[in-house]
Amino acid sequence: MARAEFGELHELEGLCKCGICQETFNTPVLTQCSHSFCSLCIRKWLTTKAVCPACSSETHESSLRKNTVLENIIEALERVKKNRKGVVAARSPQKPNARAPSQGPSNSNVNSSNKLNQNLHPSVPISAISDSDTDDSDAFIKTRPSTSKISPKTNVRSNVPKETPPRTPCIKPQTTALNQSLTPKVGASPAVVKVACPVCSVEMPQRVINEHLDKCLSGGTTRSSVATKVAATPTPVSAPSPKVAQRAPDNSSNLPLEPIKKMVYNLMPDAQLRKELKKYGLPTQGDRKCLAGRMQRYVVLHNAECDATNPRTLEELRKYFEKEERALSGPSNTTKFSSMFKTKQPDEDEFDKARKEYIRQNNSSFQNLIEQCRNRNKSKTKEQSVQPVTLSDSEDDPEEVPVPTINKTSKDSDSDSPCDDVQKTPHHKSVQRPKRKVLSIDSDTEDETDFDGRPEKRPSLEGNTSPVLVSKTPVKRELRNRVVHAKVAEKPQRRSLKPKQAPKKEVTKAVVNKASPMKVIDSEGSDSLFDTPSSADTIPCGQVTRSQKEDSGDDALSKFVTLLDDNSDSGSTTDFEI
Amino acid sequence: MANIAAQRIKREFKEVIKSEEVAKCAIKVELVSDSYTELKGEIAGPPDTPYEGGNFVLEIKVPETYPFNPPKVRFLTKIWHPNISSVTGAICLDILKDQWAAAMTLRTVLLSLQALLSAAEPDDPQDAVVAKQYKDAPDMFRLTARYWTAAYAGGPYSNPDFDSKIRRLTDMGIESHDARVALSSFNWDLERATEQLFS
Repeated sequence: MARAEFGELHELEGLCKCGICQETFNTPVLTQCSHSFCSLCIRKWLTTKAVCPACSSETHESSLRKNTVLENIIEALERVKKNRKGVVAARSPQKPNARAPSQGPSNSNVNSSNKLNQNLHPSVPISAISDSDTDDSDAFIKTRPSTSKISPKTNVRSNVPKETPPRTPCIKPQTTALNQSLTPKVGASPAVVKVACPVCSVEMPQRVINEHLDKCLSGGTTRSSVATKVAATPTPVSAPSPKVAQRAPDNSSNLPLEPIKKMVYNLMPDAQLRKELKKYGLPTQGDRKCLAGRMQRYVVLHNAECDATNPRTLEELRKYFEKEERALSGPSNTTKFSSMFKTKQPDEDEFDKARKEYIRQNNSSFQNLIEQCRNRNKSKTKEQSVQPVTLSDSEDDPEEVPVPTINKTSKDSDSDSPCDDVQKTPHHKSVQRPKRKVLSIDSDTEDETDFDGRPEKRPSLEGNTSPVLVSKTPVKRELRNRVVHAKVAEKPQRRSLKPKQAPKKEVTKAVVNKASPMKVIDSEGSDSLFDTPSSADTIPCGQVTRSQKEDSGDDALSKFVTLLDDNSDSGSTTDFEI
Repeated sequence: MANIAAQRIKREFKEVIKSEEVAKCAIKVELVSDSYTELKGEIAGPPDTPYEGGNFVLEIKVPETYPFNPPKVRFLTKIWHPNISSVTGAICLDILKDQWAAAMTLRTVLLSLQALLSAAEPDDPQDAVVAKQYKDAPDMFRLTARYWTAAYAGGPYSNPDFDSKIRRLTDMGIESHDARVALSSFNWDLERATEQLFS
């Protein structure tokens, strides 16, 4: 029988567990769909998904209501549990008589401490309700079976299981019955406990009534003695009551917690977020995401606390929150960072691989283009009677791109030319241009302004057209070529320069067209010579090479594509390649 | 791991251990690491299914945000099932994805998986090949699933016909698992399986 009764108690205990944290409810709240959860748990869950965790029906934070009855049931249950533990502890042979007096006093306090406990419950961990409560719950047990078949005390003593027996999962019908039988009792327990003495008609706890009656009948006790006893005893026995007493005023002195209204973090400016955080004494460092997350977590905690019967003060809440935050940020932050790296690193590698692969695959077509160029160059230079140095130079390194070689020559020639600054301006631009060009080939407007000065000065350049001047400083050029060789280790990379020049070339052409339409054809040759050296010149500085590396994969690929496209219509290709 | 996650998993772990299903040997959990972040689950193949008699091992990874996010579960034991990848063991089950709710526990997850074994959902497949077979050739599917259960999960039913077909392929230097996969994918048509393996 007793065993069965404790089984029922365990069922009851199992039912009083929050579905989210699997612990006994702490400040239970009721959803619209009649499911109960800890206030904090359900609020946390609802930030991730607005459905009930138990039945998946739509649920919103605003619809949560406090479940006071359940809270009271849990209190009662906890007292029963404590009582049983107390009984186990007090198993050392003691006569019931010996126990009675010690219990009596505390029971007299049942009424007041009960109320206090109800207030206290959410903020004070259940386990903190100390032994004195056992007496109350003992009383609770005792009051219960006044109508029941067994005397619980003896049974409790003989049969307290130390380990909870496995609870059965399907207990719905039983529990409702249990609840029904329990609920009224919980509500009534304080009333039942107090009994009026038939002799002196003083109200007192039921437990002491027998003792009192003995005395009363013998004429030894008066009203006052009972009253004093009742008044005097509670303080020493019930340990938590003073604490409770201390807490209660403490709280009342503080402003009651007001729920924080729902905020739309995405629409809030940073400053306002910081202001809100400051309002609750929370740290305001970190980026926007960090701030919004912190605010959201705090609002959840704060609003959950508002449901508590006896909420913590703002200060306590803040301290608790900070502790939680620290625990949260410690390990999770590092994992986040590492995961970030993990996801990013391979991407870059992959991209790099893809790019190299692409270069390798299209190597032949590049080579082809270069070859074409070289042939054309040769024929051109021959036509224009360029000295063999240039050719021999390019033969030195058969793989060497002819473009830079010629460029160099033209550059050298330019340096000798009077308009040194003109040569420098495009040179500068070409260093920066690759990046800009990458974005759009059509950005004529910008380039137009950049090149504004050029058409005017170009004629002077064209006057002493480079091909003639090419031969002027062969030694210098060769030196520079050496540098180029030394600095540019990777051939393919260098070759990949060309696509960059391609779009630029087009622009210059366009500019030329606009500025001096008459000279388009004339300037064509000089223009290319004029323009390419600058880009070739950048190689020794390693700038273009670097910028190339910095370019994103799409850019590199798109450039190759443009190159290939250009390749198809031969007219433009030749222009680029020179 | 966050406090709530660790505490809850500990509780659930005990819950499973104490549950009736463990007593019936239907489900089981084991710790892989002390941190409760990784667990090993085991479910018995439900009766009256091709998986009957088999024991299927699961890998359970508990995220830090548990129970607000579902645990990551996959089959370590190879299994022939429309909603479970025969290659990776990945599971297609709504409660492990968007239908997860915080009130679910390890026990309910394991029982749900067991239920999934007895009630496949071929219209929402994880393994298209298996799902196709499940729909087009249910008998062949049942035999294959039973055969896989016997081969990988310790099921009791053997199939000499399938065995011999696999042996034919292994004799040709094919791994027995690859042979099994190929034959299963082609409804145990030896010729087509061979063609696929050697193409």
